[in-house]
Amino acid sequence: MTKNKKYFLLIICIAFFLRFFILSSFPPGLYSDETALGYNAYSLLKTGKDEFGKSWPLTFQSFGDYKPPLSSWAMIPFVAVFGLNEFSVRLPFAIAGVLSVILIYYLCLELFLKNKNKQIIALLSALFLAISPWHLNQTRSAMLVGLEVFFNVLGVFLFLKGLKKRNLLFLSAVSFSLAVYAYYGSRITAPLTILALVIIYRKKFFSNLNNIWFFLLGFIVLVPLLIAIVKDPLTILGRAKYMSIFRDENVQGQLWEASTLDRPDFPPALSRFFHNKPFYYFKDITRRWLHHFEWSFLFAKGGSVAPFQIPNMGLFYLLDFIFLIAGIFYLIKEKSKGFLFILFWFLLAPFVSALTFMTPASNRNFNMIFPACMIIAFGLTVFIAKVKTNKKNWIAAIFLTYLLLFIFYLYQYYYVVSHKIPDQRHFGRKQLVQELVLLQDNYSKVILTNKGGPTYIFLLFYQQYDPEKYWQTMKIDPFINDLGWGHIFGFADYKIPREFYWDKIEKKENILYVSYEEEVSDAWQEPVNGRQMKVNIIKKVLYPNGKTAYKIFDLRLYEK
Amino acid sequence: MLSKKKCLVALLFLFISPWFIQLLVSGFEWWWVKPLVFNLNNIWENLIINTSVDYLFFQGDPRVQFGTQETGPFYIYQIPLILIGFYALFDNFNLRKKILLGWLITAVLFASCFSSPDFSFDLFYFIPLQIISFLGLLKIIDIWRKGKLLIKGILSAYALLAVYEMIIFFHIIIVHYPKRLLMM
Repeated sequence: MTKNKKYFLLIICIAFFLRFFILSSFPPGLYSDETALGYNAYSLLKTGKDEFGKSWPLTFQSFGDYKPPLSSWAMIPFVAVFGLNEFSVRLPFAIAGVLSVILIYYLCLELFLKNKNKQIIALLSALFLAISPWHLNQTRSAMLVGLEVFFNVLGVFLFLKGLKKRNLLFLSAVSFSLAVYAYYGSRITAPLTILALVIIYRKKFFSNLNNIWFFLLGFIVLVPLLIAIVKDPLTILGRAKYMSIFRDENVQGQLWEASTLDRPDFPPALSRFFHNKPFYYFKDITRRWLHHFEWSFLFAKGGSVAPFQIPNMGLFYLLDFIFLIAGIFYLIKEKSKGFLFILFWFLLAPFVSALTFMTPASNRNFNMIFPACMIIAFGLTVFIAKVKTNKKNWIAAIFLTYLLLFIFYLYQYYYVVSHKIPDQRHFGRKQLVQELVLLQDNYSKVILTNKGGPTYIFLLFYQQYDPEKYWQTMKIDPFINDLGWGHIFGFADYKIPREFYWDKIEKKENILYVSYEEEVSDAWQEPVNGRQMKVNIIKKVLYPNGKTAYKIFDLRLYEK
Repeated sequence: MLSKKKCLVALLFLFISPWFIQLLVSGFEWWWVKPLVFNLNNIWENLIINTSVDYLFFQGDPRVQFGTQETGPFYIYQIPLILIGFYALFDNFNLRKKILLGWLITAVLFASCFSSPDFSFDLFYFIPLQIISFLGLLKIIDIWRKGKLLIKGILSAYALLAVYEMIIFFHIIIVHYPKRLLMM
């Protein structure tokens, strides 16, 4: 085995270990999206229908966010083998994460084809991806983008290979299509990526007309989705409708303010010349797109949206900043097709996220990770090549710095997350359901808070609730809020009000209640028929830092 | 040394800059009487604010006396100029360019040692950033001269967008800004 192959094998082992090490326990707590995807996989496995009783849908209604289906489909075989639990839910994404590390290596060899250091760049790219905080955060969770990015990158790799071996163009198209089934954003990202590939490699691609036919044939996989979109537009609009900047009132507000500041005698046409939707939306999209390239987002603070945040650090290591800048500088100097594509890919990645009003978003921008790792690896390789004196000392210093930064990341991920922001990962819900299962038979009903995320899905998941039984008693709230979120009022003996206002909640002795610490005071009491009704705490579910996640209590009548 | 033509272009580029016009309109705050920030955490946060895209290109100083509230101290079209300017800066990285980069970094760090954002402090790094933007402009003009029809077409569209943005800025500073100052 050559030295490079040995290093590559070592990197794969590192990637495997970092993604599979206590996968069930970290991130602490299964997030609501993970739980929903898992339960839908379970429901499909048992009944061939999703949680709402729809037969093999091409979009899962879920919480009103209409999740694309591929993630749940991918979980089905693992749920069948390992049962419905954290491990089976996260396993396909961890596997995709390890395969991504292998993929980036071979992709680098294609893109840096004529570079004499391509082996080193490929190995470094694989290593940077293997230890990337951003990639680890996403692939250790069952997040839609984990599979989407894998299939997008596979599509790119197969396209490049397909320019030499035509059959692979068909598989490239299939791969891009699967990315579309994996995440909403790919419906824009995949076509733009394909367009870039076709333009940059147009000479080879159009050298033979059969290339076009082989490629187009692969998109036959999208036909079921297209039919589903025609039957139900929510298949494509679902989540996008509520997240889009075109629905948000920010730009409308700016236009209105600007128009009112114009003089009263201003001709409307002139006012429209200065203050118009195309320019203001262009400004807004540009601003949001640029948010994803801010050094504070990439290297210092990271995303603030739960559950993608890693406290006290950015999406990349601090040292990556220097090599990313160096990499971009030298990529521009090289002026080859592969480098042009990498740069374009890097710039294109945040475009989908820029069309939403919550920016910067580390999940919607996840396509950036592959070109970024390649650019950083390239920057580091060129930097080392240009160092003339004390090369070994420089390499040692860089290695040590990365090692320290990596140890810092491990501390943030394995300790700080579970102690400082466990609520962002929905920690406590499993423990809550385990307690409820022991207590609930003694009560006529259970009233639970919905604060912090949909509670019903955890009740279904952790009890492996029979979907057919669930359909008989589920109560769906017809009201959809401004962000597109639906709600389940409850099922069986569970009641989950949309807002848990304690003064409006039904109060009886034989009801079990679940609330957040601050929603109901432990000292609450109320006179009832000459006696005092008081809160009786049965159990408190605690976070790893000792703070209360949930309290389980009932109401007891006492003599005054 | 720059030729007379380039000097004239540099001056024109300066005179139409939002931050320069804002300086003429607002005047200057006596920054040395303002308190220093000693807490490293606060300096770090200030550094993030001072280098943020929102502050530099979209929002500016939140105090009406020092910002239009609708634009940043730099135009949006200057973003590619600044990026190309940085490329030109690192290409053939001679002593003058090292001094320019050092000036920029020192000025940003200096501004971050005071409560941010603050237009008066930030002027110290607006100047080197304006120079870098001008380096980018020179590069763009060079690309225009040597470029094929497609490149010239793209740059023409870019120039039109730049002119449009400048017209909007002057509309804001002449029509909107006095009203905002009166409403203060």
